[in-house]
Amino acid sequence: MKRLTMGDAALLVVLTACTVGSFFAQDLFASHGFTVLVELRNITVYKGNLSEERKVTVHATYGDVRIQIHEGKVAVVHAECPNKVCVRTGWRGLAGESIICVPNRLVIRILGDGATPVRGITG
Amino acid sequence: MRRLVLAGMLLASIVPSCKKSGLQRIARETTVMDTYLSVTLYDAQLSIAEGNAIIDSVFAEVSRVEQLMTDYADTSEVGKINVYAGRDSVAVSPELVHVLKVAHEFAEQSQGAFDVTIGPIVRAWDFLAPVHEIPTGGRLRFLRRFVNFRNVVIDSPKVYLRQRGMRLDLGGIAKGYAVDRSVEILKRRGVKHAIVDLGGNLGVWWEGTQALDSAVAEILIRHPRKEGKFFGSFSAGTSGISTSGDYQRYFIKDGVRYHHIINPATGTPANDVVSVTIIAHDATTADALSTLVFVLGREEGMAFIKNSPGVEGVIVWEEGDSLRYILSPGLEGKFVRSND
Amino acid sequence: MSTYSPVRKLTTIALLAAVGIALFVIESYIPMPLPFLKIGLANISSVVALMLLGTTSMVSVVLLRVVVGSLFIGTFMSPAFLLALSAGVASAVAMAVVRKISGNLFSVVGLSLIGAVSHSITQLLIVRYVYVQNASVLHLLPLLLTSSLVGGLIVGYLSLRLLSALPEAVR
Repeated sequence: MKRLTMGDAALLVVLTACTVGSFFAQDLFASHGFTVLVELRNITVYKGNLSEERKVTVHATYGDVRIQIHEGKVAVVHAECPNKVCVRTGWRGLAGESIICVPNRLVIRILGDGATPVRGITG
Repeated sequence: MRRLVLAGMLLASIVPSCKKSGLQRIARETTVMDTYLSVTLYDAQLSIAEGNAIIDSVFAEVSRVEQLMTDYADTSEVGKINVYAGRDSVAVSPELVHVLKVAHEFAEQSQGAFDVTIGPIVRAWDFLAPVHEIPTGGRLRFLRRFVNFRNVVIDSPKVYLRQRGMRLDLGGIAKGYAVDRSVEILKRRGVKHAIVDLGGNLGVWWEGTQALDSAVAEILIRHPRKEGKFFGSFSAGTSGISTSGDYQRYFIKDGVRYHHIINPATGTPANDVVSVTIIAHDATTADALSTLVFVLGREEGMAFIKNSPGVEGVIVWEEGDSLRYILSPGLEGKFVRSND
Repeated sequence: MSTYSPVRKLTTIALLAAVGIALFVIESYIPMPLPFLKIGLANISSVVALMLLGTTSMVSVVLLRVVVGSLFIGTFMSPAFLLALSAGVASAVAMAVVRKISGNLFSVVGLSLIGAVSHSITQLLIVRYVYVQNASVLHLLPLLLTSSLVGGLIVGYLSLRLLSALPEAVR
């Protein structure tokens, strides 16, 4: 109890190795793909992985908005807003891309991981 | 020995954390000016709280520009000019005078291919309405009499529309201006790298870089005919980038595509090309020129780009079922066509 | 341990808790590059409690320290408090279990390292699954591991010195 033991030394070596290893193992828990963020009137109402199959319904100003996440892409499959620009936008799956419903003030955003390049989309 | 190990581990904890934070980004989106606004800050020095505060002030600035320049409210400065058309001049802010002067300059250069007095015709088409109607030829002929940029009298700070029934519509330039204002705020607040995206009007701000000389941001151009795909890409540094496309706001009636980029000379959608992307020093120029070049069409449009210093562009048109494109000289070898 | 009468045990727990709270408050004034990085000086009180009094007393010391300490710096019932509470209990349990099954394999330095690492991992998992629900916080793992390695060594070393300095009768 008074002195350092061989066990201490071994433990220190193992933990140091784990710590050093964890710096290099970043990718293991990093690139689990992109995140879908749904914001209604600037409040986050859903956050999930883009690789998970999912259907999300949001109760917005103009009725329900049905969002589907499928095969690494996201789309608004049903909306009752006047122009349905969000539905016409179709499927989006790139980090930094978004689908917007202006009348409902609904923003669906795809967030990238650390490896996403600096990118702008025009058009 | 123990001290050495401690020191070593402290160092190890500091070095990788620096590398990591270089990738940090703070991004937020909102809806404004009938479209979306996304602001992304790439800055290792910023805390999340500082970044969010800066983004808040950018959001506020774009809202302010909207309130100044929308023609959908009679209370905005543009709205007041429209209300007093043919009756009286209206004193407006120096920045609206500035934007109107820039617009006038582009109108002069293009002999009216870009014209902010297009308001009455845009209203007649009303691409935002749920039910689409095609205005009759007679109606368009009548409305065209109110479209003439030479009838905007700018006598700073007063602006006067000479004819009753005239209507300013800054839809082809205000978003670009709002992006430039946003970038201005980012610079002032000490942000070093950022991208502002207002409905596809991009403002790239990367300290110490220039439009095409440096490859810091990957710019993707949407595919005009394939949803969710990209037509091509190029790299850019600090610049304004904008695309006008016939796929952005349109309806199809009896097999004909009617879109929102109106040729002031005819009152009908310009139909020589399907998409024009412009990269310029600032977003106001890019926004206005993407519309202007679209209206001019591929030949005159490309000539216009070549004659404008610091401006480069991609023009895409349809030939049968396939898409063709031309690049301005500065984009040669830099633009990469995507696989469809 | 057996030499401790109930009253003496109670006073020692109170004393160690008080020392832990003092260290906790002092440490909250030491500037760190990131808010979640800590040396965890207060853990000296847990380690010493484990060695002198055993598992249950150590858990009492941890609970007292976290609750009263958070009242002092004003984080009671905040997320920070709930994190400290669960991570504190988890690391105490980890130290006790390891000590029980490994006998004399580790000194206090080894135990304190185990406590510090399990403290960090618990915190990270709770943030990951309860508060943020986003895998991106796992990026913090290397930093947290580094800080717990350093903190664990410091705490272990100080505890070792402290325990050796105590008169034979107390030990």
